Amino acid sequence: MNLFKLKNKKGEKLISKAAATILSMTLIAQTFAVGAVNEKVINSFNAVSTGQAIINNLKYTDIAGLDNNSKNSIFQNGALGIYITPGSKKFNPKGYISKEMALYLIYTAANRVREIDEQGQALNSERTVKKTNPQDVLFDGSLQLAANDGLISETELADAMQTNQKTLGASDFKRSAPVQRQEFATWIAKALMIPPEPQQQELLNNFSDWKSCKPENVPYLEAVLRAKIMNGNGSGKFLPAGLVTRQQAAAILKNAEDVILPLRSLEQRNATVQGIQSGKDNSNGSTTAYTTITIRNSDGLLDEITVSKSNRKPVSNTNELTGSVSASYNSELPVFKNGKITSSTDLKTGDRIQYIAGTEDQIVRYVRVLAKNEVTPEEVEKGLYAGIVEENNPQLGYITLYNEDGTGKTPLALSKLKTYNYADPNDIKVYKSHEEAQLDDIEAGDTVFIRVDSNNLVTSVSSVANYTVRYGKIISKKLSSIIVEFDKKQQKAYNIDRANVIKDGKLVKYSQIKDGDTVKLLINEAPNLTVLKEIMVEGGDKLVSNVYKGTFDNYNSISNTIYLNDPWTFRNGKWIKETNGSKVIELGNGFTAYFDGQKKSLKDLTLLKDNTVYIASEKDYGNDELAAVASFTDSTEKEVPYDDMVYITGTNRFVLEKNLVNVTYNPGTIVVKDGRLVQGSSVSTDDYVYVMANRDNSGSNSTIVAGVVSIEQRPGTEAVQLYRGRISSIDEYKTVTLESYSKLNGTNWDYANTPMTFSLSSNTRITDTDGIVGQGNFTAENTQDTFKGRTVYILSDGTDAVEISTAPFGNFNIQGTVNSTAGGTLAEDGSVVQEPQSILLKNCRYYNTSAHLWVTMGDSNFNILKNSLILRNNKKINPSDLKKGDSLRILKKDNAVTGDAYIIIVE
Amino acid sequence: MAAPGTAYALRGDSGYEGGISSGENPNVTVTSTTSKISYQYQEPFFLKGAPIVLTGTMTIKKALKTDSKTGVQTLTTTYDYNVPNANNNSLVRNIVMTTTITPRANGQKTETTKLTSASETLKLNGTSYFISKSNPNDYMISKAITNDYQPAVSYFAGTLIGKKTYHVGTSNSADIIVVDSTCNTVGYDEYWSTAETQTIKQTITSRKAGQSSIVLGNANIDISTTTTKQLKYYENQPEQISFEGGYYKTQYNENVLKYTANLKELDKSGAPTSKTVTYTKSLKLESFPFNDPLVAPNLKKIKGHPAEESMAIMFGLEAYKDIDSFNPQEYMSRGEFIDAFTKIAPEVPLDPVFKPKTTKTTSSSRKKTPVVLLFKDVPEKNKYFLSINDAANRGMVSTGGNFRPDAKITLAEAVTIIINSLGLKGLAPNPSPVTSFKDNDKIPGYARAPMYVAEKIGLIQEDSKGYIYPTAKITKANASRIMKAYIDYMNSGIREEYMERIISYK
Repeated sequence: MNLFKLKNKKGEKLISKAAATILSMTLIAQTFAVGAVNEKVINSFNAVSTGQAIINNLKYTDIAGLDNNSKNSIFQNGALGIYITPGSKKFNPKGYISKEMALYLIYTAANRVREIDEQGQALNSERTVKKTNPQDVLFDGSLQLAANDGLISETELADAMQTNQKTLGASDFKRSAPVQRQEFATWIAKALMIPPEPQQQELLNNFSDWKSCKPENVPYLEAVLRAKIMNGNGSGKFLPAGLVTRQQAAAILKNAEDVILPLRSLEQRNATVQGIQSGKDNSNGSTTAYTTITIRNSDGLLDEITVSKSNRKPVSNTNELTGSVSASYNSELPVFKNGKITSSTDLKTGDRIQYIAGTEDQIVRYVRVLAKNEVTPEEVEKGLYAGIVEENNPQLGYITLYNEDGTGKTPLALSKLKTYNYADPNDIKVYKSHEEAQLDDIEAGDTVFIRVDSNNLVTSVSSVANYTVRYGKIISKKLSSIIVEFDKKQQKAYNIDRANVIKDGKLVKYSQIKDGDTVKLLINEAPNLTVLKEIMVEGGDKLVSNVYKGTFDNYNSISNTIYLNDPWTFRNGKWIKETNGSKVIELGNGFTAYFDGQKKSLKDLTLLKDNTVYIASEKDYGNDELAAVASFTDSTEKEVPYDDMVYITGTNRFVLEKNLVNVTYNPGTIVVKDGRLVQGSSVSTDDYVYVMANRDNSGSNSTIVAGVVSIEQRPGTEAVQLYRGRISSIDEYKTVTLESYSKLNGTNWDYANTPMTFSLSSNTRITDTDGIVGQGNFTAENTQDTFKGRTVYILSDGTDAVEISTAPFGNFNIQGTVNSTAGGTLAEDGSVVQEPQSILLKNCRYYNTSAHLWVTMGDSNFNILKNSLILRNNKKINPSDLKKGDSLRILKKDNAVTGDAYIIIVE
Repeated sequence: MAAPGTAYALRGDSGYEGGISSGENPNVTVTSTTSKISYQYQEPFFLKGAPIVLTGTMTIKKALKTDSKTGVQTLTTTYDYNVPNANNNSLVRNIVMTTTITPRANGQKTETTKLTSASETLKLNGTSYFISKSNPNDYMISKAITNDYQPAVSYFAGTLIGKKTYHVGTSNSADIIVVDSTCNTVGYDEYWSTAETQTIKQTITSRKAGQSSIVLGNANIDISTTTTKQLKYYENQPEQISFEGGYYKTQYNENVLKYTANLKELDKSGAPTSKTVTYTKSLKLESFPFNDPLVAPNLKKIKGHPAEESMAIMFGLEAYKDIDSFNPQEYMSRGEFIDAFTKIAPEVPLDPVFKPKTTKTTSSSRKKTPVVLLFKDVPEKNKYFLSINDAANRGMVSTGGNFRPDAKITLAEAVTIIINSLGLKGLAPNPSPVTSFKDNDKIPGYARAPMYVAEKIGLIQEDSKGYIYPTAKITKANASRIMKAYIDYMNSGIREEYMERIISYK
């Protein structure tokens, strides 16, 4: 076959050239063919003998513009002989169907042509003036049968049979008048014996005009709607008194095929064309050409359809007398492919087809080639619907979905949506994200799959949420809502309701959220409501790193950096000189600059050279920092520092309690609260604040404008719980008991002559002069290194021992400010290689216990021992955590300016 | 030879040992089938009770073999790590991995990686740890990756499991420390940026000869290795110059590592205590930026237009041409849009090692390849033939039938092409999303999912009344805004998704 085709197409030369290849290809093809032939053919079908005539009749000239579904309805009904327009090339799709035509169509569909013919003939034979048009006779028969069956009343029949139809009134049954939609629906239900549905559900829920239906029709309309034979007009109306076009009638009959086909001993089958073979049969003297179409049916078995053509052409000069006509038998398949009616010659291997064949005669009447991605309803389970939830109302027992194509949002078109009723809300299987759930868990915006039973009631629901992730920064946290700012500076408020809050991978309370937190929000952004589901707080990688003050030199647009002269660092309400060098800071993504409270573009910064600028930087990965905001001031302004508590807050201002000054802020004010950059409105009553303000004398009243506001947890607000005593016993890993103890109380050790027991936990750290001691070695047993009888410090949290140290007793209190540390080394990445060994303090004084006075002493340099305890907020920190400017209290054995520091408390 | 300034998809730039490198430097010349590049390198170790970060160099060498019949590729990657001794810490490590890359019928490629050989000599605070080549059981790795190729982005994801057994003190010591690690890796490659993230979980166990083993702690390490190309504007200082200023692409790598380690504190003799201390730290390595200028035509004509910046970038990237005949308010044709869009959404650049070998063209192979007509109405002589065919071949637009190159493009069509190029249609809910736009119902069926996704990733925004006008034609000014938003997404938005959002939200 291959050889033959090639020869015809390209000529012999090509064949000789590619002979080898083609030969092998042919061999493969043959082997394959043999394989297929060997398989048993289960069903043998034949094409319909009138096939070609049907095709010719269906070549309508006026339906080219219709969609493929409409064309298919027209062709299928035509091919089945239900809906034909003999002798006309026009289908007239927009024409209305008359009542008599409607009845005739419905009865034809119900396979009762013989009966209507009999009835029609009987009526005609009684007539004196016989009707000559066979169609009229059939219409008469249809009307009579309809009356017999109760589709129409006897009165209506009488009206219909009246010879002069013009005398009929408007309310009479005029046979040629267009049929109404509710009549058509009722007749179909009755003629096809679809049982009426007394309970209205489809009609009530989906169509706003159900009241205008005739009450006696309603159960039938419901039945037709449930069987999906008819539907509304697409905008929530059934239009009971509306008319039916010929195109609509074809679609309705097509929709009823599940009922109609069995009545006509037909069935619809699906298959894929496996191969097409041609053959010839000369046995009868004449030649008959066969085309056998091998198809793979939906059970995976092999069927075939045979199309046969007698080779002998009809000879016009033969008649019964001149010679016996050879029984020329031509069959053909009406094939609907790519929007056109055609024949079997257009079928190709691989085509997926849907065809209608007789269950008894095995004759194929109609073939439709499926579109590339089309799935036939037979290949899909019925009763399962998918969509996005518009509303779920378990209390009232229904769920409403947007349309499967995502439409249904047009205002006032809600009736377009699909509503399903719950069978029994307590007995519905519900899954959310593949786990068993309650009906209440199904939310608007979810994707759902709904399974309905034969009564169209929901029996199970499976859903997944379609939450949206958004990233932003908390601008303001209220009692039950948050305002979040997103990337492009848009702000949005969300109710907290039942939203989970997650911080450091743990579920925490809403109160843990702070103004200025960067957050990841999980939001159910359903089309008509928004619900915040979860707030995840960023882990702290982007907290405020430093606030600097300096003299602005320049902004470099290529390196995106600011060069700052004479930089100072803000710490504990003071400006600290950390470096003699200048500072270069890279700008972060959201960097903004302000001058006198007004936003300034980067380009304009050159004009502010030598102005004083405050810059807040945020941490970046790898010990880096990026400038987040810069606030330029007028160089003439004088800076005033405050260390105070907020007494009251107002619009763009707050009042300080001790100083009783009114401090105003503007968008350029750098406000740091709990390590986060926040807006001025986040300053609240009773906040401890450090303020760097500038007096603005420009107006009539001098106002104080805050440049930097810092609200932070003050060290020392939590009491240090430090005990000292002699160990009397140790229950390893469990408890340690002191035979008596002293507790640090301010500058004094309060002695109590009673034993005290502390619990040990895996987190208790024990340090002696050489370093850390494992709890296994923290023993009172009679060993060389026993702790029994040794005097230790115990830092506790309640009665839990947190740190135990063997450092010597110090009863001299010395205060001072960290100037520097010494002996420590840092690696290239900023990590600590060696902890500092000593600490240099300035502004020192010691407490004279007898005089109850603090006495000034010289700058001091103290050693830090391995078992020295350095405490901040009642927690041990490392020597490298001490920063220049930190205010310390030190316990020592004397008041010398050198020596060992046993206990160092950051105040 | 690699053209300078091209961000290659250099997967594995940070290795798979739980460290980061500075990554590719665009100025380095690499040959087409083997490449050997030395990077700055940092890696944290958790064997000594507290994390120790070593800083040194890593050298990567890659060689590729392709089976011409099956298309299966075998990539051999050699990693050499070197940290010279400082503060009693040092590292010498050599790893050879073999990756088999198999093309699959759906267009994806799957990769499996095995270790060919490994050796390591590590010194931490004076203690030596050894993995020797002679004992292959001391280091085992199994890595599986799936690659998915979309028109303008390639995505990949996979897992890695590994087990390292260090011999403490001497190379055959019976005192060992075992590091078990699992790693999820996910990332993407595209023209404007690339990212590879690794989420590593390590468990560290010690066993002294003749004793039972003890778990020393665990560490979670998040690594994000990224490259990006940002567009920056420069303004010329003197007024008397033929063009006012222009844009350049600045490309650099930004590689971040963050670890959280929960480690048993060691006592003064080096034995673990019951106390667990949590350490958190991040490291960052960046490459030196590489700048590449864009063309800078005189754009006086559009000065002051609300979309001036976006249009200037389009001209800079040569997506828009011929300023003289340009009218920002002109509706854009489908052909014009595709031509512009393919300029800003070029093909995913390949790692040079995967580039086909270029053999010298001989006279016989210089024959013109036959022209394939993908659309009936786009003949070869069409002005946008190459761009339209390129877009169709890469799957941004579907082929067959007509393209209608002269028809004016609608917002829905443009958005569909853009989202197709990202392969992100699947982010929309099933079966078909309902968007938040008031005119949701006007969105054509094919564009519903793309419009939904485009809104979520910030490419389009409803107007103040909530409408998006999906079927409206778009002007060249508006098209430039959308394409600018696309570039912003491609160089920052998507990268953020694979960096900050993985590292800082746990």
